Amino acid sequence: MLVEAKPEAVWAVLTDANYIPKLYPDMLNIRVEPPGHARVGQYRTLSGRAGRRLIEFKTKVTELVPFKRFVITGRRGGALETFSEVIELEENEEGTIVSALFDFKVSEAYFGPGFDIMALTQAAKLNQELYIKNLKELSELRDPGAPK
Amino acid sequence: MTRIESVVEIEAPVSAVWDILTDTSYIVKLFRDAVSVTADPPGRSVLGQKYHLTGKAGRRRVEFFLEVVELVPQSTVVTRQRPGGLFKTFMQKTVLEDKAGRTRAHTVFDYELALGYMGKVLNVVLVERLVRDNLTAYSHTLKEFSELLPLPAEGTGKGAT
Repeated sequence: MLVEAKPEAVWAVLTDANYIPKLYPDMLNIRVEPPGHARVGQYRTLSGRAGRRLIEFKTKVTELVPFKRFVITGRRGGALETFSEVIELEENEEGTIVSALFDFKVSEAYFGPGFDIMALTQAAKLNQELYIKNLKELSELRDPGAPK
Repeated sequence: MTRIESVVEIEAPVSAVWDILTDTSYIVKLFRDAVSVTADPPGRSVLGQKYHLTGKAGRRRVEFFLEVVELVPQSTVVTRQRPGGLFKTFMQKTVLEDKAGRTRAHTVFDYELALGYMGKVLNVVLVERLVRDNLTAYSHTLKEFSELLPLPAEGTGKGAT
């Protein structure tokens, strides 16, 4: 996907955990440890929703190559049994080419009986699709006084 | 000055609604076009806490500077404009009332946009509509989040061990 912004602008959104609730529609808030911008080893605990239920996700930042590569993986104990998010940036004349790869499995043990795992998986996929769209939108925002 | 007022009945106790209302990380979800927020001091709402809120109007970033000026625990939060940003004046007052385990949330927004801030770049009509839409939706979003339920006990809620 082409983002009409420099890699630095995309990176600023990617690595600021405060943007997570805007990037993923079903995420509500996030706590990070240590606080601040993303760094390798940073633990993230996210509250989200599945329908009318509150759920939790646990991840950590595992790889950071500034303005180029950003990798998040899952930690045990959350709604996803496995999770991997790999975002790569490549600058070109028009802005930044963003490549995103998500790999995950919903945890049946976390949800217990009575939950449609396929529907939960579809909801997660939709969130991931919207993540990329939202990343583009947020990265391309301009200040009020900036030229078009 | 524009006023937007709403009352919602929330199927959750006051404490649950208060948790959402005073958790600054929820601000970007409660206001649809809010993008990021920084609070000083960070963490839960306290009297005197200052917010720097960034939002979007179309493809433009807009800013808001607010302060918590009144806080009555489990009851009332009032936020007002600080100098600068999209609002010339702004006040939000949310009052919670216990209704036998449910909550009645009454929210009033009074605001006026700063035309000088928008300059010649932002479409005034568009911004007016966006602000109105965001403020109108606020109470229903507060209700929706407050009514979210934890997973039933059958699930581990903690994933496979």
